[in-house]
Amino acid sequence: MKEKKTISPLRRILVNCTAQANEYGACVAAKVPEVERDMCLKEFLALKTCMQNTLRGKV
Amino acid sequence: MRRFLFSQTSCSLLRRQRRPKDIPHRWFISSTSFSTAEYEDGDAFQNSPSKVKIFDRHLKRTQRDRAAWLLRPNDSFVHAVAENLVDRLEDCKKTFPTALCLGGSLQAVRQMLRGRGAIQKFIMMDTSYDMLKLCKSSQRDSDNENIETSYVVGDEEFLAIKESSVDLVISCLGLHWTNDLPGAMIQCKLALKPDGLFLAAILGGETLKELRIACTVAQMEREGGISPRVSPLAQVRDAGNLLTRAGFALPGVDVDEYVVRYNSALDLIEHLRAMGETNALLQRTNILKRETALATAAIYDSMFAAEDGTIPATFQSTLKEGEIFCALFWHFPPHFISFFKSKVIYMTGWREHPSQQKSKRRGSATISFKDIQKQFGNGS
Repeated sequence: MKEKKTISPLRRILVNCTAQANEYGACVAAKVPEVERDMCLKEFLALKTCMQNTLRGKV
Repeated sequence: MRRFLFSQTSCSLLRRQRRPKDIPHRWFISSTSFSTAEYEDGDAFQNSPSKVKIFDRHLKRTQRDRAAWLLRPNDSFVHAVAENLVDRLEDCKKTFPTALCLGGSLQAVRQMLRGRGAIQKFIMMDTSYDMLKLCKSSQRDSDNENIETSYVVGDEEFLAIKESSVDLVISCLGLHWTNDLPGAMIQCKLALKPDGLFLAAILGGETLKELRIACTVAQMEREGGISPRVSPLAQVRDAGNLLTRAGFALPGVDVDEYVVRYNSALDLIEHLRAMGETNALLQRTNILKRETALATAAIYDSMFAAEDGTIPATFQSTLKEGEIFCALFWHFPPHFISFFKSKVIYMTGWREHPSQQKSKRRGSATISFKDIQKQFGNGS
């Protein structure tokens, strides 16, 4: 059974990268409903680098 | 003799790998209150010729097995829905000695029952064996009522209950995973005695609309295409049709909307997983890329956040067009708190009986509305 104290990686990422996630979310939310592929790529890349840093930092 | 021992050991070894807890082999040769009505895999289970298959029932069973281990004993949302459902028993003067409980949140219904409806014999039925084991053990711990309970492992679509044998059929949040909902309801009706009651609560309408939107937008932005992540749900207007098509007399439909708050989108998914409500569509893609999941969470939090940082999630179940806020507090410190609204559709129907009132024939009115208006005055 999953131990409740174990924090999943995705949660850790969301906790660490709040600012980038907010920016990315705001970018997409502004453009809904005309959503196209990679329209918020810059913000997402920032979020992705933060995610990789988080995972690398812990692992 | 040796061969028999060997097969027994290998059987229990296999079972140990599959499930987290040990199940002694003797469960299957056990007491009288346990019976299995399980169908052979593959043959009758999913290959019926003319049925539309939307959900993967095998996967749903596995998910319910997992939910049996994950579900907290006092989950507020599930208990709120069960309480609402069981409360309707008090509205009837009739007593229901025999009751059948189909899938969904069995344990919650059992706990919320507390003597309502004067139920004496309770049959619990679920596709998942682990869920029934959980109910059985929790009932053993808190045994306060003298209700004779029996547990059946079976499918809601292939009811193994004798015709006209139960007074009451309850299904709390279970029927929205059946492939053939009208068929399941027809079988429930057949299982009911004349003047028997059918009570069901299903998720419907706009449930999880925020999640659906967030998933779709994220997937479109990241991958350029979409795949179904949230199952198709019945609408309120369909519920009435379902009841009449199944042949129930005196049908009644209510809808209730619950707004449930979470710390983040991940908590929502965890809760869904704990309730066994995760995706079991046959058309699903098994792949969820890490980036897409991250994007979904970020978009959910940003698009649907409330003023204090909470995110909403919709479970629709309207009773009085009111919003009932159930706040679930999880162990993690609140960074975002998300809430979501859910719509639960409550359906009630009775098996026909001569004692029930019927609508009168057209043209058989004896008093006209004009006379009534004269009697009571205009504008009152």
